[in-house]
Amino acid sequence: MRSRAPQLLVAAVGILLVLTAFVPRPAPGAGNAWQGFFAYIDENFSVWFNIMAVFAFGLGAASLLGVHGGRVRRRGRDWPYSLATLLAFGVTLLVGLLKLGGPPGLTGDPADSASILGRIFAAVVSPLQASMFALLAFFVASASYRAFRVRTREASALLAAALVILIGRTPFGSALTQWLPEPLAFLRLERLSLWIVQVPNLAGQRAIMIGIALGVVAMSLRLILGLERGVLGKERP
Amino acid sequence: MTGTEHTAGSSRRATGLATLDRRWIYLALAAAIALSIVARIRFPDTPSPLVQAAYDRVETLPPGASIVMALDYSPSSRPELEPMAFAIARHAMLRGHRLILLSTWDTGNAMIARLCTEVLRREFPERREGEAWVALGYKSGNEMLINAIRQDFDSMYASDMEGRSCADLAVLAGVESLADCTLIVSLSSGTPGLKEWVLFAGDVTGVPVVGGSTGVGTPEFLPYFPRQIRGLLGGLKGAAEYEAALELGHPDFHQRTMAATDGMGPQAVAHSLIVLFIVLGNVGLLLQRRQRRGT
Repeated sequence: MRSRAPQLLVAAVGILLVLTAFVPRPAPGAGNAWQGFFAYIDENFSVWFNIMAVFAFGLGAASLLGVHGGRVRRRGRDWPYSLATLLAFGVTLLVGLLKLGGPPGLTGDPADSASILGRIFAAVVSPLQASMFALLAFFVASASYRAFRVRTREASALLAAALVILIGRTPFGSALTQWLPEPLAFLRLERLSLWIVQVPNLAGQRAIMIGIALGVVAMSLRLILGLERGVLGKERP
Repeated sequence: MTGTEHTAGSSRRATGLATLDRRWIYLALAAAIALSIVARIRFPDTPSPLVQAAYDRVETLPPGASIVMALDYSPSSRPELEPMAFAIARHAMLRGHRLILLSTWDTGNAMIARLCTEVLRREFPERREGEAWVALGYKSGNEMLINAIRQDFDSMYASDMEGRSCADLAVLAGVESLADCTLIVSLSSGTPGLKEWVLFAGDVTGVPVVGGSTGVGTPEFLPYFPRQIRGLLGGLKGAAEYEAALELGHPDFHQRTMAATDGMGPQAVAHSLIVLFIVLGNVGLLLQRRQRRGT
């Protein structure tokens, strides 16, 4: 019963939500009871999901405390980093909940730029995230240098496409090949770059998307039919 | 120099070119970017069809049209996406549209706050908050947030970021749900983002969607253009093209900042340097191959 009830719930919600996509919305004051029922389901399930999503924050916090708290207690590998994580989490949560330095009251924005939370975001989170992302440019440069080599035919094709895109996406690209006459304008780097992105890349992207969509349909069916039980947690003996 | 010494020297050069220490690459890239920033290298840009379509969509809306703009990004992708947000917000204000700002990302409030401070309040003081634009901010729920406001804004947004009741805001008059809006603009660097706005809002309500994404994320959205995404800004170049389109379309308006156009110079230099390193690596590889064949 413990696993049967959640399975039935998942199946019922899944079937209802699939059906809502196919039942037309009634005009205000019109439509039959079934249409009204499915419109109600569609509208309110999203709001209920959002309410549940808020509780997920609590679960996330509990998980973070469990994992990193345990590591600090056991003095496990890299425990000082876990301690830093816990301290950062605690301080940020506290200043956010108490709205320190910002507009008070229930409706006061906890992330107001004058608040301590706002300042933590501007002075710590923002530059750290930006720095991490900026470092990627250096890794990409080094990786491109090592990876794009004419070792095989496929690698050569990849190299040619990469060069065209790299130069074609800069104003240099336009300037370099602007001299090509109109009959050969398709060879201009910016047009070649756009062609690569809009034709071969598009075909690949569509294939991947269709594959993923079929996978999602298959997985959803397995969930609704109760064949996929991982989502319900471990089976109890 | 003997033949053996000459061969050994060539071999060392070839190996050196093919196996350059990554620290040299880092140093060269840092120096090139720093120099091009200091020298303020700028290149003129022209809008591509993808960007022009987005620009035309905003340009041709009747004044007073309500545009929902979702700022679904974080500080890491801000350099690419914020110039898009600034340029589109300026364009919307110039055309007399109403702007509704929100986010499905928890970092969105800070991004919205920057847009309000740097562009809306500073450059368009006559277009007042609550009348011409509103910052609704972030709510949890990801795509379910989109699903909920598709039917009713009030179910998720009772008040704006400043705590004012949405029912009292003139900017939201006649806008009860996403379906009442004229255009959806989604600037995103991940999930939930542009794709979710297309799937859960644009496709269902029929409200056209225009989007912007990071350079690496853009190819993912091309299958949706031009039916489901009516215009697409890809990376810093897309933002620079939008700035160029705005400059061409509204020559009397002076854009106080053109971060994307300013950033394209250093980016072009960096791209060129990367291409140079790729060419050098391949020259080294080819030389090595030739020497192996010769021995």
